[in-house]
Amino acid sequence: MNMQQFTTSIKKEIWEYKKIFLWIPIILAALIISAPIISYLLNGGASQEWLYRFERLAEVSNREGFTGLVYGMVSFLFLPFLVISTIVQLYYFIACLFDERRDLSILFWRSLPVSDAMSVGVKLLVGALILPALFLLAATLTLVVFLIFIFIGSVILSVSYDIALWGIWANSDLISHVFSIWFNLLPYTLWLFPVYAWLMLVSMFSSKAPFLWATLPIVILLLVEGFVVNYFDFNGYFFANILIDYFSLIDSANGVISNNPQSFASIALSVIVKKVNVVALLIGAGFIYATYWLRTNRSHS
Amino acid sequence: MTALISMTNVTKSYGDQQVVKNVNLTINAGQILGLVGPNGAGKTTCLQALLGLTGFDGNIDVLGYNPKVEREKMLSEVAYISDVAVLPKWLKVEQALTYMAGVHPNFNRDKAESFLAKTNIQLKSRIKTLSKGMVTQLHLALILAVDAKVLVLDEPTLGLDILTRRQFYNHLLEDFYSEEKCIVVTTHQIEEIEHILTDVAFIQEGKVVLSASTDNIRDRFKMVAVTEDQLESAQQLEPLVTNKFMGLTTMLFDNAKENELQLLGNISSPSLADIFVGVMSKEAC
Repeated sequence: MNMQQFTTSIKKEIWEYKKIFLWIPIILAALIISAPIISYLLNGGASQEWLYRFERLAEVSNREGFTGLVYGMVSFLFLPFLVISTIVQLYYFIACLFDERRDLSILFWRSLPVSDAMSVGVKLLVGALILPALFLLAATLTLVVFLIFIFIGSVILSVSYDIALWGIWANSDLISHVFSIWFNLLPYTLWLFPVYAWLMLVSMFSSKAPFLWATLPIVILLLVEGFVVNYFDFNGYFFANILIDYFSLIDSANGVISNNPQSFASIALSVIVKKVNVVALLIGAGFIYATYWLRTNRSHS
Repeated sequence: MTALISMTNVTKSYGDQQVVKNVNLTINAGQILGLVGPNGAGKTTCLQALLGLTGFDGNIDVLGYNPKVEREKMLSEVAYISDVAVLPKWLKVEQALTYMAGVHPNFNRDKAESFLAKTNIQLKSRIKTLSKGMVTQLHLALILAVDAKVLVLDEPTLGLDILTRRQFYNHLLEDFYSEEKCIVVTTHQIEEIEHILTDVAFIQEGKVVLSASTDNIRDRFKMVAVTEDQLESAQQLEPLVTNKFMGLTTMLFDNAKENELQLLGNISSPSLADIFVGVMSKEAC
Protein backbone atom coordinates (compact mmCIF):
# COMPACT_ATOMS: atom_id res chain seq x y z
CA MET A 1 0.00 0.00 0.00
CA ASN A 2 1.22 3.46 -0.91
CA MET A 3 1.40 5.23 2.48
CA GLN A 4 1.58 8.71 0.99
CA GLN A 5 -1.61 8.11 -1.00
CA PHE A 6 -3.20 6.65 2.12
CA THR A 7 -2.40 9.61 4.40
CA THR A 8 -3.30 12.12 1.68
CA SER A 9 -6.66 10.40 1.19
CA ILE A 10 -7.33 10.65 4.94
CA LYS A 11 -6.42 14.35 4.83
CA LYS A 12 -8.86 14.82 1.96
CA GLU A 13 -11.72 13.34 4.00
CA ILE A 14 -10.90 15.61 6.92
CA TRP A 15 -10.77 18.68 4.62
CA GLU A 16 -14.14 17.79 3.18
CA TYR A 17 -15.85 17.26 6.53
CA LYS A 18 -13.78 19.74 8.54
CA LYS A 19 -16.85 21.46 10.00
CA ILE A 20 -18.24 18.33 11.56
CA PHE A 21 -14.93 16.62 12.32
CA LEU A 22 -13.23 19.51 14.09
CA TRP A 23 -15.72 22.21 14.95
CA ILE A 24 -18.47 20.05 16.49
CA PRO A 25 -16.14 18.44 19.09
CA ILE A 26 -14.53 21.82 19.81
CA ILE A 27 -17.92 23.49 20.32
CA LEU A 28 -19.14 20.58 22.44
CA ALA A 29 -16.01 20.72 24.60
CA ALA A 30 -16.39 24.50 24.99
CA LEU A 31 -20.01 24.10 26.10
CA ILE A 32 -19.20 21.36 28.60
CA ILE A 33 -16.29 23.33 30.05
CA SER A 34 -18.20 26.60 30.25
CA ALA A 35 -21.43 25.15 31.73
CA PRO A 36 -20.14 24.47 35.31
CA ILE A 37 -18.09 27.68 35.27
CA ILE A 38 -21.18 29.72 34.38
CA SER A 39 -23.21 27.83 36.97
CA TYR A 40 -20.51 28.49 39.60
CA LEU A 41 -20.38 32.20 38.76
CA LEU A 42 -24.18 32.57 38.69
CA ASN A 43 -24.40 30.99 42.13
CA GLY A 44 -22.11 33.60 43.65
CA GLY A 45 -18.71 31.91 43.64
CA ALA A 46 -17.33 30.09 46.70
CA SER A 47 -20.51 29.98 48.77
CA GLN A 48 -20.98 27.86 51.87
CA GLU A 49 -22.97 25.36 49.81
CA TRP A 50 -20.02 24.77 47.47
CA LEU A 51 -17.62 24.46 50.40
CA TYR A 52 -19.91 21.84 51.92
CA ARG A 53 -19.89 19.91 48.62
CA PHE A 54 -16.10 19.95 48.51
CA GLU A 55 -15.90 18.73 52.15
CA ARG A 56 -18.22 15.84 51.26
CA LEU A 57 -16.09 15.07 48.21
CA ALA A 58 -12.94 15.04 50.37
CA GLU A 59 -14.65 12.53 52.68
CA VAL A 60 -15.84 10.12 50.01
CA SER A 61 -12.54 10.24 48.10
CA ASN A 62 -10.99 7.99 50.76
CA ARG A 63 -13.81 5.47 50.78
CA GLU A 64 -13.94 2.13 49.00
CA GLY A 65 -15.79 2.35 45.68
CA PHE A 66 -14.64 5.91 44.99
CA THR A 67 -12.92 4.71 41.83
CA GLY A 68 -16.29 3.46 40.54
CA LEU A 69 -17.78 6.88 41.20
CA VAL A 70 -14.95 8.53 39.28
CA TYR A 71 -15.41 6.08 36.41
CA GLY A 72 -19.09 7.01 36.34
CA MET A 73 -18.21 10.72 36.27
CA VAL A 74 -15.64 10.25 33.51
CA SER A 75 -18.13 8.18 31.51
CA PHE A 76 -20.76 10.87 32.09
CA LEU A 77 -18.32 13.46 30.70
CA PHE A 78 -17.54 11.27 27.65
CA LEU A 79 -21.18 10.35 27.02
CA PRO A 80 -22.28 13.49 25.10
CA PHE A 81 -19.16 13.23 22.93
CA LEU A 82 -19.94 9.59 22.13
CA VAL A 83 -23.62 10.27 21.41
CA ILE A 84 -22.84 13.22 19.10
CA SER A 85 -19.97 11.27 17.55
CA THR A 86 -22.35 8.40 16.68
CA ILE A 87 -24.83 10.82 15.07
CA VAL A 88 -22.01 12.45 13.08
CA GLN A 89 -20.72 9.02 12.07
CA LEU A 90 -24.13 8.00 10.72
CA TYR A 91 -24.30 11.27 8.77
CA TYR A 92 -20.77 10.79 7.43
CA PHE A 93 -21.37 7.24 6.25
CA ILE A 94 -24.61 8.20 4.49
CA ALA A 95 -22.96 11.22 2.81
CA CYS A 96 -19.38 10.11 2.07
CA LEU A 97 -20.01 8.30 -1.22
CA PHE A 98 -23.31 9.94 -2.13
CA ASP A 99 -21.96 13.53 -2.10
CA GLU A 100 -19.11 12.81 -4.51
CA ARG A 101 -21.56 11.24 -6.96
CA ARG A 102 -24.07 14.07 -6.58
CA ASP A 103 -21.54 16.81 -7.43
CA LEU A 104 -19.79 14.51 -9.99
CA SER A 105 -16.45 15.03 -8.26
CA ILE A 106 -16.17 11.22 -8.33
CA LEU A 107 -15.10 11.66 -11.98
CA PHE A 108 -12.17 13.77 -10.80
CA TRP A 109 -11.20 11.45 -7.92
CA ARG A 110 -11.41 8.40 -10.17
CA SER A 111 -9.32 10.07 -12.88
CA LEU A 112 -6.35 9.91 -10.49
CA PRO A 113 -4.20 6.87 -9.73
CA VAL A 114 -5.94 5.97 -6.46
CA SER A 115 -7.60 2.57 -6.28
CA ASP A 116 -11.28 2.22 -5.46
CA ALA A 117 -10.32 -0.21 -2.69
CA MET A 118 -8.22 2.52 -1.06
CA SER A 119 -10.95 5.15 -1.49
CA VAL A 120 -13.60 2.94 0.11
CA GLY A 121 -11.20 1.67 2.78
CA VAL A 122 -10.11 5.17 3.77
CA LYS A 123 -13.73 6.33 4.08
CA LEU A 124 -14.51 3.33 6.28
CA LEU A 125 -11.43 3.93 8.43
CA VAL A 126 -12.15 7.65 8.79
CA GLY A 127 -15.80 7.15 9.71
CA ALA A 128 -15.33 4.13 11.93
CA LEU A 129 -12.17 5.03 13.83
CA ILE A 130 -10.71 8.46 13.12
CA LEU A 131 -13.96 10.39 13.55
CA PRO A 132 -14.87 8.87 16.96
CA ALA A 133 -11.20 9.15 17.96
CA LEU A 134 -11.37 12.91 17.32
CA PHE A 135 -14.42 13.14 19.58
CA LEU A 136 -12.71 11.02 22.24
CA LEU A 137 -9.69 13.29 21.98
CA ALA A 138 -11.92 16.32 22.53
CA ALA A 139 -13.51 14.57 25.53
CA THR A 140 -10.07 13.68 26.93
CA LEU A 141 -8.85 17.26 26.52
CA THR A 142 -12.03 18.47 28.24
CA LEU A 143 -11.25 16.13 31.11
CA VAL A 144 -7.70 17.50 31.24
CA VAL A 145 -9.09 21.05 31.48
CA PHE A 146 -11.35 19.96 34.34
CA LEU A 147 -8.41 18.26 36.06
CA ILE A 148 -6.43 21.50 35.82
CA PHE A 149 -9.38 23.32 37.43
CA ILE A 150 -9.62 20.63 40.09
CA PHE A 151 -5.89 20.89 40.78
CA ILE A 152 -6.08 24.68 41.17
CA GLY A 153 -9.20 24.26 43.33
CA SER A 154 -7.44 21.63 45.45
CA VAL A 155 -4.57 24.03 46.15
CA ILE A 156 -6.93 26.91 47.01
CA LEU A 157 -9.19 24.74 49.20
CA SER A 158 -6.21 23.20 50.97
CA VAL A 159 -4.54 26.53 51.72
CA SER A 160 -7.59 28.74 52.37
CA TYR A 161 -10.23 26.38 53.76
CA ASP A 162 -8.25 23.41 55.04
CA ILE A 163 -10.20 21.00 52.79
CA ALA A 164 -7.93 18.25 51.44
CA LEU A 165 -9.00 16.97 48.03
CA TRP A 166 -5.70 15.22 47.34
CA GLY A 167 -7.37 11.85 47.87
CA ILE A 168 -9.13 12.36 44.55
CA TRP A 169 -5.79 12.16 42.77
CA ALA A 170 -4.59 9.16 44.69
CA ASN A 171 -7.73 7.01 44.58
CA SER A 172 -9.45 7.80 41.33
CA ASP A 173 -7.59 5.57 38.79
CA LEU A 174 -8.30 8.32 36.29
CA ILE A 175 -5.71 7.36 33.73
CA SER A 176 -6.83 3.73 33.60
CA HIS A 177 -10.45 4.87 33.25
CA VAL A 178 -9.60 7.08 30.30
CA PHE A 179 -7.52 4.33 28.71
CA SER A 180 -10.34 1.83 29.12
CA ILE A 181 -12.78 4.19 27.36
CA TRP A 182 -10.30 4.63 24.50
CA PHE A 183 -9.77 0.89 24.42
CA ASN A 184 -13.53 0.36 24.00
CA LEU A 185 -13.36 2.12 20.65
CA LEU A 186 -12.15 -0.93 18.76
CA PRO A 187 -14.84 -3.43 19.92
CA TYR A 188 -17.43 -0.64 19.62
CA THR A 189 -16.38 -0.20 15.98
CA LEU A 190 -16.52 -3.92 15.32
CA TRP A 191 -19.96 -4.10 16.91
CA LEU A 192 -21.35 -1.31 14.72
CA PHE A 193 -19.35 -2.30 11.61
CA PRO A 194 -22.40 -3.87 9.83
CA VAL A 195 -24.32 -0.60 10.33
CA TYR A 196 -21.45 1.48 8.97
CA ALA A 197 -21.06 -0.88 6.01
CA TRP A 198 -24.80 -0.82 5.25
CA LEU A 199 -24.82 2.98 5.28
CA MET A 200 -21.81 3.09 2.95
CA LEU A 201 -23.55 0.71 0.56
CA VAL A 202 -26.65 2.90 0.59
CA SER A 203 -24.48 5.98 0.08
CA MET A 204 -22.95 4.31 -2.97
CA PHE A 205 -26.15 2.82 -4.30
CA SER A 206 -28.84 5.46 -3.93
CA SER A 207 -29.27 8.15 -6.53
CA LYS A 208 -31.58 10.19 -4.28
CA ALA A 209 -32.56 10.38 -0.60
CA PRO A 210 -29.91 8.05 0.89
CA PHE A 211 -31.36 8.40 4.38
CA LEU A 212 -34.67 6.94 3.17
CA TRP A 213 -32.83 4.14 1.39
CA ALA A 214 -30.96 3.42 4.62
CA THR A 215 -34.05 3.15 6.79
CA LEU A 216 -37.01 2.25 4.58
CA PRO A 217 -35.94 -1.31 3.62
CA ILE A 218 -35.53 -2.18 7.30
CA VAL A 219 -38.85 -0.57 8.25
CA ILE A 220 -40.60 -2.36 5.38
CA LEU A 221 -38.98 -5.68 6.35
CA LEU A 222 -40.20 -5.31 9.95
CA LEU A 223 -43.70 -4.26 8.85
CA VAL A 224 -43.99 -7.19 6.44
CA GLU A 225 -42.74 -9.54 9.14
CA GLY A 226 -45.23 -8.10 11.61
CA PHE A 227 -48.05 -8.59 9.12
CA VAL A 228 -46.99 -12.18 8.27
CA VAL A 229 -46.55 -13.17 11.93
CA ASN A 230 -49.96 -11.76 12.89
CA TYR A 231 -51.77 -13.05 9.81
CA PHE A 232 -50.45 -16.62 10.06
CA ASP A 233 -50.37 -16.53 13.86
CA PHE A 234 -46.68 -17.55 14.10
CA ASN A 235 -44.97 -17.83 17.48
CA GLY A 236 -42.52 -14.97 17.26
CA TYR A 237 -40.63 -12.43 15.22
CA PHE A 238 -37.39 -13.39 13.53
CA PHE A 239 -35.85 -10.22 12.07
CA ALA A 240 -37.18 -7.97 14.83
CA ASN A 241 -35.67 -10.21 17.51
CA ILE A 242 -32.34 -10.40 15.68
CA LEU A 243 -32.13 -6.62 15.51
CA ILE A 244 -33.19 -6.17 19.14
CA ASP A 245 -30.71 -8.82 20.31
CA TYR A 246 -27.91 -7.27 18.31
CA PHE A 247 -28.38 -3.67 19.36
CA SER A 248 -29.64 -4.09 22.94
CA LEU A 249 -26.90 -3.74 25.54
CA ILE A 250 -29.11 -4.57 28.54
CA ASP A 251 -29.05 -8.38 28.33
CA SER A 252 -25.37 -8.37 27.56
CA ALA A 253 -24.67 -6.04 30.51
CA ASN A 254 -26.74 -8.18 32.91
CA GLY A 255 -24.81 -11.29 31.92
CA VAL A 256 -21.43 -9.61 32.28
CA ILE A 257 -22.19 -7.91 35.64
CA SER A 258 -23.40 -11.16 37.25
CA ASN A 259 -20.24 -12.97 36.11
CA ASN A 260 -17.68 -10.21 36.55
CA PRO A 261 -18.50 -7.77 39.30
CA GLN A 262 -14.97 -6.54 40.06
CA SER A 263 -14.16 -3.66 37.69
CA PHE A 264 -16.36 -0.99 36.11
CA ALA A 265 -13.96 -0.46 33.23
CA SER A 266 -13.70 -4.15 32.39
CA ILE A 267 -17.50 -4.47 32.58
CA ALA A 268 -17.99 -1.84 29.86
CA LEU A 269 -15.36 -3.50 27.69
CA SER A 270 -16.82 -6.98 28.21
CA VAL A 271 -20.35 -5.79 27.40
CA ILE A 272 -19.25 -4.38 24.05
CA VAL A 273 -16.93 -7.28 23.22
CA LYS A 274 -19.83 -9.65 23.87
CA LYS A 275 -21.84 -7.83 21.20
CA VAL A 276 -19.25 -8.47 18.48
CA ASN A 277 -20.56 -11.23 16.26
CA VAL A 278 -18.74 -13.08 13.46
CA VAL A 279 -21.86 -13.44 11.30
CA ALA A 280 -22.57 -9.72 11.58
CA LEU A 281 -18.95 -8.97 10.67
CA LEU A 282 -19.25 -11.17 7.58
CA ILE A 283 -22.48 -9.42 6.57
CA GLY A 284 -20.70 -6.07 7.03
CA ALA A 285 -17.79 -7.30 4.90
CA GLY A 286 -20.31 -8.29 2.21
CA PHE A 287 -21.81 -4.79 2.26
CA ILE A 288 -18.35 -3.24 1.95
CA TYR A 289 -17.48 -5.47 -1.00
CA ALA A 290 -20.77 -4.52 -2.70
CA THR A 291 -19.90 -0.84 -2.10
CA TYR A 292 -16.47 -1.35 -3.68
CA TRP A 293 -17.98 -3.26 -6.61
CA LEU A 294 -20.53 -0.51 -7.32
CA ARG A 295 -17.88 2.19 -7.18
CA THR A 296 -15.68 0.25 -9.57
CA ASN A 297 -18.25 -0.98 -12.07
CA ARG A 298 -21.05 1.53 -12.09
CA SER A 299 -21.05 4.39 -14.59
CA HIS A 300 -20.92 7.68 -12.68
CA SER A 301 -21.47 10.21 -15.44
CA MET B 1 4.90 5.41 -35.03
CA THR B 2 4.30 3.99 -31.57
CA ALA B 3 0.71 3.03 -30.79
CA LEU B 4 -0.16 4.47 -27.39
CA ILE B 5 -3.82 3.45 -27.42
CA SER B 6 -5.57 0.64 -29.22
CA MET B 7 -9.24 -0.26 -28.95
CA THR B 8 -10.36 -3.53 -30.55
CA ASN B 9 -14.03 -4.47 -30.90
CA VAL B 10 -15.00 -2.41 -27.88
CA THR B 11 -18.66 -2.76 -27.03
CA LYS B 12 -20.61 -1.39 -24.09
CA SER B 13 -24.23 -2.20 -23.27
CA TYR B 14 -26.69 -0.98 -20.67
CA GLY B 15 -29.19 -3.79 -20.46
CA ASP B 16 -30.34 -4.54 -24.00
CA GLN B 17 -29.14 -1.22 -25.35
CA GLN B 18 -25.71 -1.14 -26.99
CA VAL B 19 -24.27 2.35 -26.57
CA VAL B 20 -20.85 1.52 -28.04
CA LYS B 21 -20.66 -0.97 -30.91
CA ASN B 22 -17.46 -2.67 -32.01
CA VAL B 23 -15.25 0.38 -31.88
CA ASN B 24 -11.78 -0.08 -33.33
CA LEU B 25 -9.30 2.76 -32.97
CA THR B 26 -5.54 3.11 -32.81
CA ILE B 27 -3.93 6.30 -31.60
CA ASN B 28 -0.22 6.80 -32.07
CA ALA B 29 2.32 9.07 -30.46
CA GLY B 30 2.09 12.57 -31.88
CA GLN B 31 -1.58 12.25 -32.82
CA ILE B 32 -4.34 14.55 -31.64
CA LEU B 33 -7.55 12.68 -32.27
CA GLY B 34 -10.92 14.39 -32.24
CA LEU B 35 -13.74 12.03 -31.36
CA VAL B 36 -16.74 13.78 -32.77
CA GLY B 37 -20.39 12.84 -32.61
CA PRO B 38 -23.81 14.16 -31.75
CA ASN B 39 -25.22 14.02 -28.19
CA GLY B 40 -25.72 10.46 -27.02
CA ALA B 41 -23.47 9.01 -29.71
CA GLY B 42 -21.32 7.18 -27.15
CA LYS B 43 -18.28 9.49 -27.04
CA THR B 44 -18.13 9.79 -23.26
CA THR B 45 -18.78 6.07 -22.78
CA CYS B 46 -15.92 5.32 -25.18
CA LEU B 47 -13.57 7.54 -23.22
CA GLN B 48 -14.73 6.11 -19.90
CA ALA B 49 -14.05 2.60 -21.18
CA LEU B 50 -10.64 3.80 -22.32
CA LEU B 51 -9.91 5.04 -18.80
CA GLY B 52 -11.28 1.97 -17.04
CA LEU B 53 -14.05 4.06 -15.49
CA THR B 54 -16.75 1.76 -16.82
CA GLY B 55 -16.88 -1.89 -17.80
CA PHE B 56 -16.80 -2.95 -21.47
CA ASP B 57 -16.45 -5.94 -23.78
CA GLY B 58 -13.52 -6.15 -26.21
CA ASN B 59 -9.91 -5.15 -25.72
CA ILE B 60 -8.32 -1.84 -24.83
CA ASP B 61 -4.61 -1.27 -24.45
CA VAL B 62 -3.37 2.06 -23.12
CA LEU B 63 0.42 2.35 -22.87
CA GLY B 64 0.56 -1.41 -22.41
CA TYR B 65 -1.97 -1.38 -19.58
CA ASN B 66 -5.36 -3.02 -19.54
CA PRO B 67 -7.61 -0.30 -18.08
CA LYS B 68 -9.99 -2.91 -16.66
CA VAL B 69 -7.43 -4.38 -14.30
CA GLU B 70 -4.56 -1.86 -14.19
CA ARG B 71 -6.49 1.41 -13.93
CA GLU B 72 -4.39 2.93 -11.13
CA LYS B 73 -1.05 2.18 -12.81
CA MET B 74 -2.40 3.43 -16.13
CA LEU B 75 -3.68 6.67 -14.62
CA SER B 76 -0.15 7.52 -13.45
CA GLU B 77 0.62 8.16 -17.12
CA VAL B 78 -2.79 9.22 -18.40
CA ALA B 79 -4.50 12.51 -17.59
CA TYR B 80 -8.20 13.16 -17.98
CA ILE B 81 -10.48 16.18 -17.95
CA SER B 82 -14.17 15.41 -17.96
CA ASP B 83 -16.98 17.20 -19.74
CA VAL B 84 -18.36 18.96 -16.68
CA ALA B 85 -16.86 20.99 -13.86
CA VAL B 86 -15.97 18.02 -11.68
CA LEU B 87 -13.56 19.61 -9.24
CA PRO B 88 -15.24 19.44 -5.82
CA LYS B 89 -16.57 22.83 -4.75
CA TRP B 90 -15.50 22.48 -1.12
CA LEU B 91 -11.83 22.02 -2.05
CA LYS B 92 -9.33 24.88 -1.78
CA VAL B 93 -6.81 25.43 -4.58
CA GLU B 94 -3.84 24.72 -2.33
CA GLN B 95 -5.57 21.57 -1.04
CA ALA B 96 -6.03 20.42 -4.64
CA LEU B 97 -2.28 20.87 -5.19
CA THR B 98 -1.42 19.07 -1.94
CA TYR B 99 -3.78 16.24 -2.81
CA MET B 100 -2.38 15.83 -6.32
CA ALA B 101 1.18 15.89 -4.97
CA GLY B 102 0.22 13.25 -2.41
CA VAL B 103 -1.51 10.78 -4.69
CA HIS B 104 0.05 11.30 -8.12
CA PRO B 105 3.61 10.02 -8.62
CA ASN B 106 4.14 12.18 -11.74
CA PHE B 107 2.71 15.46 -10.45
CA ASN B 108 4.99 18.50 -10.42
CA ARG B 109 3.65 21.01 -7.90
CA ASP B 110 6.04 23.78 -8.96
CA LYS B 111 4.84 23.51 -12.54
CA ALA B 112 1.20 23.75 -11.44
CA GLU B 113 1.94 26.75 -9.22
CA SER B 114 3.83 28.57 -11.98
CA PHE B 115 0.88 27.97 -14.32
CA LEU B 116 -1.55 29.27 -11.71
CA ALA B 117 0.67 32.32 -11.10
CA LYS B 118 -0.21 33.44 -14.65
CA THR B 119 -3.91 33.41 -13.76
CA ASN B 120 -6.10 35.27 -11.26
CA ILE B 121 -6.55 32.15 -9.16
CA GLN B 122 -5.45 32.50 -5.52
CA LEU B 123 -4.09 29.48 -3.70
CA LYS B 124 -6.32 30.20 -0.70
CA SER B 125 -9.49 30.33 -2.81
CA ARG B 126 -12.15 27.71 -2.50
CA ILE B 127 -13.27 26.25 -5.83
CA LYS B 128 -16.89 27.30 -5.26
CA THR B 129 -15.74 30.93 -5.35
CA LEU B 130 -14.08 30.56 -8.78
CA SER B 131 -15.79 31.23 -12.11
CA LYS B 132 -16.30 28.34 -14.51
CA GLY B 133 -13.39 29.54 -16.64
CA MET B 134 -11.12 29.68 -13.60
CA VAL B 135 -12.15 26.18 -12.54
CA THR B 136 -11.20 24.94 -16.00
CA GLN B 137 -7.88 26.79 -15.77
CA LEU B 138 -7.25 25.17 -12.40
CA HIS B 139 -8.11 21.73 -13.73
CA LEU B 140 -5.82 22.34 -16.68
CA ALA B 141 -3.03 23.46 -14.32
CA LEU B 142 -3.40 20.23 -12.34
CA ILE B 143 -3.37 18.11 -15.47
CA LEU B 144 -0.55 19.93 -17.27
CA ALA B 145 1.62 19.47 -14.18
CA VAL B 146 1.29 15.71 -14.58
CA ASP B 147 3.95 14.18 -16.77
CA ALA B 148 1.36 12.19 -18.73
CA LYS B 149 1.86 10.49 -22.07
CA VAL B 150 -1.82 10.41 -22.92
CA LEU B 151 -4.32 13.20 -22.34
CA VAL B 152 -8.03 12.50 -22.59
CA LEU B 153 -10.39 15.46 -22.82
CA ASP B 154 -14.15 15.04 -22.81
CA GLU B 155 -15.84 18.28 -23.94
CA PRO B 156 -13.34 20.22 -21.80
CA THR B 157 -14.47 23.69 -22.85
CA LEU B 158 -18.21 23.16 -22.63
CA GLY B 159 -19.91 26.33 -21.38
CA LEU B 160 -16.78 28.50 -21.57
CA ASP B 161 -16.53 31.78 -23.44
CA ILE B 162 -14.53 31.92 -26.65
CA LEU B 163 -11.49 33.60 -25.10
CA THR B 164 -11.14 30.94 -22.44
CA ARG B 165 -11.70 28.21 -25.03
CA ARG B 166 -8.89 29.58 -27.23
CA GLN B 167 -6.59 29.96 -24.21
CA PHE B 168 -7.33 26.41 -23.18
CA TYR B 169 -6.26 24.90 -26.49
CA ASN B 170 -3.26 27.20 -26.79
CA HIS B 171 -2.01 26.04 -23.39
CA LEU B 172 -2.63 22.48 -24.42
CA LEU B 173 -0.39 22.80 -27.46
CA GLU B 174 2.28 24.91 -25.77
CA ASP B 175 2.48 23.24 -22.38
CA PHE B 176 1.51 19.62 -23.00
CA TYR B 177 1.78 18.43 -26.55
CA SER B 178 4.90 16.80 -27.95
CA GLU B 179 5.66 14.13 -30.55
CA GLU B 180 5.88 11.45 -27.83
CA LYS B 181 2.41 12.13 -26.50
CA CYS B 182 -1.13 11.86 -27.77
CA ILE B 183 -4.36 13.68 -27.05
CA VAL B 184 -7.89 12.38 -27.45
CA VAL B 185 -10.53 15.06 -27.37
CA THR B 186 -14.27 15.09 -27.80
CA THR B 187 -16.00 18.35 -28.55
CA HIS B 188 -19.08 19.82 -30.12
CA GLN B 189 -17.16 22.88 -31.24
CA ILE B 190 -15.16 21.01 -33.87
CA GLU B 191 -14.54 24.15 -35.93
CA GLU B 192 -12.52 25.60 -33.04
CA ILE B 193 -10.12 22.72 -32.78
CA GLU B 194 -9.95 21.39 -36.30
CA HIS B 195 -6.67 23.24 -36.87
CA ILE B 196 -5.02 21.34 -34.02
CA LEU B 197 -6.37 17.88 -34.86
CA THR B 198 -4.17 15.42 -36.71
CA ASP B 199 -6.87 12.75 -36.85
CA VAL B 200 -10.59 12.55 -36.49
CA ALA B 201 -13.15 9.83 -35.76
CA PHE B 202 -16.85 10.42 -36.26
CA ILE B 203 -19.08 8.38 -34.02
CA GLN B 204 -22.80 7.89 -34.42
CA GLU B 205 -25.11 5.68 -32.37
CA GLY B 206 -22.10 3.98 -30.80
CA LYS B 207 -20.38 3.15 -34.11
CA VAL B 208 -17.29 4.80 -35.58
CA VAL B 209 -18.50 5.77 -39.05
CA LEU B 210 -15.33 7.49 -40.20
CA SER B 211 -11.80 7.43 -38.86
CA ALA B 212 -8.85 8.95 -40.70
CA SER B 213 -6.17 11.61 -40.58
CA THR B 214 -7.38 15.16 -41.21
CA ASP B 215 -5.09 15.38 -44.27
CA ASN B 216 -6.62 12.24 -45.70
CA ILE B 217 -10.12 13.52 -45.01
CA ARG B 218 -9.41 16.85 -46.68
CA ASP B 219 -8.15 15.00 -49.76
CA ARG B 220 -11.14 12.73 -49.80
CA PHE B 221 -14.00 15.19 -49.30
CA LYS B 222 -14.61 18.13 -51.60
CA MET B 223 -17.13 20.93 -51.48
CA VAL B 224 -18.38 22.21 -54.82
CA ALA B 225 -20.35 25.39 -55.49
CA VAL B 226 -22.47 23.90 -58.27
CA THR B 227 -23.65 26.14 -61.09
CA GLU B 228 -27.36 26.08 -61.94
CA ASP B 229 -26.90 24.24 -65.24
CA GLN B 230 -24.81 21.46 -63.65
CA LEU B 231 -27.23 20.54 -60.87
CA GLU B 232 -28.52 17.44 -62.60
CA SER B 233 -25.03 16.15 -63.41
CA ALA B 234 -23.95 16.85 -59.84
CA GLN B 235 -26.83 14.84 -58.42
CA GLN B 236 -25.68 11.84 -60.45
CA LEU B 237 -22.37 11.86 -58.51
CA GLU B 238 -24.38 11.28 -55.30
CA PRO B 239 -23.31 14.15 -53.04
CA LEU B 240 -23.33 13.48 -49.31
CA VAL B 241 -25.20 16.65 -48.63
CA THR B 242 -26.69 19.51 -50.63
CA ASN B 243 -27.13 23.05 -49.31
CA LYS B 244 -29.08 25.79 -51.00
CA PHE B 245 -28.55 29.28 -49.69
CA MET B 246 -29.40 32.58 -51.38
CA GLY B 247 -29.52 30.96 -54.83
CA LEU B 248 -26.15 29.21 -54.39
CA THR B 249 -26.05 25.42 -54.26
CA THR B 250 -23.13 23.70 -52.56
CA MET B 251 -22.60 19.97 -52.50
CA LEU B 252 -20.26 17.78 -50.49
CA PHE B 253 -18.71 14.82 -52.30
CA ASP B 254 -16.87 11.84 -50.90
CA ASN B 255 -14.13 10.24 -53.03
CA ALA B 256 -15.31 11.89 -56.25
CA LYS B 257 -12.81 12.42 -59.06
CA GLU B 258 -11.46 15.95 -59.12
CA ASN B 259 -11.69 16.30 -62.93
CA GLU B 260 -15.40 15.41 -62.78
CA LEU B 261 -16.01 17.91 -59.97
CA GLN B 262 -14.21 20.69 -61.84
CA LEU B 263 -16.92 20.54 -64.51
CA LEU B 264 -19.61 21.20 -61.88
CA GLY B 265 -18.29 24.45 -60.44
CA ASN B 266 -15.75 25.87 -57.98
CA ILE B 267 -14.11 23.27 -55.73
CA SER B 268 -13.09 24.10 -52.17
CA SER B 269 -11.90 22.16 -49.13
CA PRO B 270 -14.73 21.69 -46.70
CA SER B 271 -14.28 22.26 -42.99
CA LEU B 272 -14.41 19.25 -40.65
CA ALA B 273 -17.74 20.60 -39.42
CA ASP B 274 -19.12 20.42 -42.99
CA ILE B 275 -17.79 16.91 -43.42
CA PHE B 276 -19.21 15.90 -40.04
CA VAL B 277 -22.66 17.18 -40.98
CA GLY B 278 -22.42 15.45 -44.37
CA VAL B 279 -21.31 12.09 -42.94
CA MET B 280 -23.89 12.20 -40.15
CA SER B 281 -26.66 13.09 -42.64
CA LYS B 282 -25.65 10.21 -44.89
CA GLU B 283 -25.53 7.73 -42.03
CA ALA B 284 -28.89 8.93 -40.74
CA CYS B 285 -30.55 8.31 -44.15
